[in-house]
Amino acid sequence: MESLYELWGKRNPEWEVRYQDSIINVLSDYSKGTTSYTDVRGKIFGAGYEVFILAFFIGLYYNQTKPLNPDKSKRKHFGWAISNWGIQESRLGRKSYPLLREYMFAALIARTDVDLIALDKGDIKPSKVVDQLITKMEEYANFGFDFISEKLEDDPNFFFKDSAFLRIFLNFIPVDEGHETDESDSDDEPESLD
Amino acid sequence: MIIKEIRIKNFRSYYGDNNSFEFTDGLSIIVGDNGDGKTTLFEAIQWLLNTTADKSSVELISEMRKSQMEVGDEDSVSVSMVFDHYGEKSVEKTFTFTKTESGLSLGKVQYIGYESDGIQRVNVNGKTLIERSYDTFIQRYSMFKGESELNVFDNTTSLKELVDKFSDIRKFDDLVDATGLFEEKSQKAYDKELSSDQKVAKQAKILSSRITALCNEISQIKSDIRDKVKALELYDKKLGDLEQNQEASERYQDIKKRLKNLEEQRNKLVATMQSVDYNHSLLDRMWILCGFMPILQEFKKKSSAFSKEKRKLEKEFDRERAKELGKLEAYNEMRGALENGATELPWYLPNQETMEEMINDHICKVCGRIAEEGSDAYQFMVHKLEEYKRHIEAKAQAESAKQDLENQYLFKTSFIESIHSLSMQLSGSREAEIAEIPTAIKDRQELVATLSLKKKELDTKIQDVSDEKARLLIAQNASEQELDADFSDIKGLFEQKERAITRKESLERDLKEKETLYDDLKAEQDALRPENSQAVVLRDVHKVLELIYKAFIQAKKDNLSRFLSDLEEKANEYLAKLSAEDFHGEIRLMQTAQDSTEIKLFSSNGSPITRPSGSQRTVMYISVLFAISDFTSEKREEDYPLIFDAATSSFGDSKEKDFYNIINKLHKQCIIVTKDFLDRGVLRMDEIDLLTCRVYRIKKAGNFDAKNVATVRTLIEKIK
Repeated sequence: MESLYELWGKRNPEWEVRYQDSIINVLSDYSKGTTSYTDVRGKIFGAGYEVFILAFFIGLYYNQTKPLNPDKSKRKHFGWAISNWGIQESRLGRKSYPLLREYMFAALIARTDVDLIALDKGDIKPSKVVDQLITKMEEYANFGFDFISEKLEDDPNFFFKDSAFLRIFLNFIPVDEGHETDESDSDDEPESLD
Repeated sequence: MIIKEIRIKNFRSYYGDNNSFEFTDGLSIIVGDNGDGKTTLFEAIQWLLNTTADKSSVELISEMRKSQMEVGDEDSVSVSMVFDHYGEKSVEKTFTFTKTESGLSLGKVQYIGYESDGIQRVNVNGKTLIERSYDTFIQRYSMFKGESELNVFDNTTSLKELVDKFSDIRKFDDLVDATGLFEEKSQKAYDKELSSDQKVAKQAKILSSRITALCNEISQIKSDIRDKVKALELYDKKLGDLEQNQEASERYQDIKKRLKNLEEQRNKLVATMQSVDYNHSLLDRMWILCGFMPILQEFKKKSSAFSKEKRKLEKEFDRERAKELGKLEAYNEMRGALENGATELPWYLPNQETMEEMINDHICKVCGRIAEEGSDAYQFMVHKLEEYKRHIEAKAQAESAKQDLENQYLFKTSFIESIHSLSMQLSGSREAEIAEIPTAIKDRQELVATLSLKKKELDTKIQDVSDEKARLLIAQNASEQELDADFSDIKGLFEQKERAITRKESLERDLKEKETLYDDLKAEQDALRPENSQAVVLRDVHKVLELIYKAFIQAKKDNLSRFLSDLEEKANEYLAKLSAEDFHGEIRLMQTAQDSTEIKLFSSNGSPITRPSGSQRTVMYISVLFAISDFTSEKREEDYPLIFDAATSSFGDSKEKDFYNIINKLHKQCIIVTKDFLDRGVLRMDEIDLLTCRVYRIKKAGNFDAKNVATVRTLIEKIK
């Protein structure tokens, strides 16, 4: 029996075609067909799905979804199943990151309203649950694309600053952890007399 | 020729018709600051004297005058000069300009000359007058703009021109040519006569052709030697320049090394800083999971909840099933109790076969009693058999019910388990890794911050060293390539020079041999005793003419060196005077292979002063110019003024005053335009008072608009 993770991995999530020119082609080598160094110079990412992953995490961390255009002709997928994402990178200096998919899956399970009891009972089909996961995934990413698109509109060079994406994600570090370091910093302060 | 007055009208910054300078036959100084019109004055004089510049130009017209004109207004640009040159003369160069609707219309350039015929002033051709009194050749040795133009011998043809103009050597050229021609002709005549002489014709022919061949060889060797000498001069000059730069060159190499070192450090730093790409690390190092902990917890909670729920449901289900099974067991157990409470025999005793046999035989074979058909006992047995059969059936049914029950499951798949197992995997060490990501990012950022601080320090250091390099280059007035090339060239040049010397020496040896051979052949030729008396006469004639020819060549050489040594002597006199108390060395005019000369400064002990200071050089060149000017007055019996624009800018304050006073005593008309004696735009009157010469001050009229050239005009003030 294939696990949900494996079934999910066989899918190809969709995204809105309008983000291809405005975001995916801008930030990655998607549709380049080659990764020869001269062609990719200046692009931040290699494969198009890398931008998708970033967009997904933006939606995930904001916990905001945005439904995709229902018109199928306005949607598109990479033709590259999730299970292949992050497996190999032909660009110089890059490393593979296969484990990241497990976290994406875990996040989808955590955030999608799926009835696994009914699934295991056999009341609903696994494909239906995977559909739900993929929809959630697409909607998170769709929100993320929207977010990136706004930033690019304001400043076309926004993401070409070395740490632009990182700074966005650093905002999502849970405040608690920040407090911990703050506390260690404030150890020097005199204790309250109370 | 003495310039007595110069008037300038509407020429560039000289607005209007009220601009005139009067000059004495000694020194006149015109003091002005930057932009006050010094160079304009110089160029106005140049324009006047340049008889080839015959085109009127809008650029020459005073901007101020232009800006004031209404349509229809007419005015003119002119520069005029009154001078003494065998009587008083004057010349004016001028063109008119008229304001029209479409701009300015310019008239033709005109030269207007006057000279006195002893009784009255007569109008003469101005252009011719200029060319006659102050030709371009004299202009070349009399007008100098800036210090760099002072070395008149920079141009290789200058010496020849100078010598041609000022010495008698030129006459020798004709004599040398003429005697050379005689020599050649007499030689030919003699050869011809010889060839027809029966006695010596054959021998003469051989000798003649050998001599001709030898002459060719000798002239070839001589030209080769000249080439080598030229090359050696070039190497010497280059090496001299290089040696001047050697110290700088070494310092430059040192700076370059330091710079390279620093840049390497910086590149290493940058490489370390860039080794982690923040964008790629989001994926490759999974930094994107920096905010993932809460979601991971959610996931773990949810998967554990599902797992728990599933187990709970499964347990309940199992319990229910167990209950049902228990019921079945209990039911079976409850059956078979007899009336007196004793336990029945098992239902399967006796078995179906035995019972059917007993019923058939109407006897209970257990107790041995007869059981007639229809009796109680018989009925009991039949009943027992029926019960047995029912039991068998029920048992079969119960078995299948139990089987059914036992085969029942609540959950058919284990998706939850696999998800729970993933959740287990993501706990423990992997969870710790995710929790560490924010710290890892922070560490990295701190490292990069530290590194970029270091980089900044390095950048500052690199900037300092680069500045040092720039200062060195500026001080040396050299380019990087030059200093670099110097370093590598110096060795190569020495080698080339050595080779050239060796080659030259071998050529000279060769030449000597050939010349000896030539002399021998000549002697042999001379020793021929032709029968023909005509031939004898021609031989003697040729011999005499040849001697004369050689004598003139030698005389020409001697004259040139005498001319140079005279010039040198005069120049040194001026050098001593102009330098006053200061160290001045000795000027030597060195002849070069290209028949030009180089002006060099030597110490009296014979060693060359390779790096004279700016002011030493200026004084040296001016001394030579004065010497040349002296020659002019001696040889051409005429004097001409020397006009310098900012020639003394390398002088120190103390040198200026002495220098000018000495020049004033030289009885040579000198016009010097300078910004000496100025202290932030104010004349140092105490020093001016000590000067014995004429002084003019030129400056921009006040109230000008710093941005509008049409508000600028030069005012002339006679100080003394």
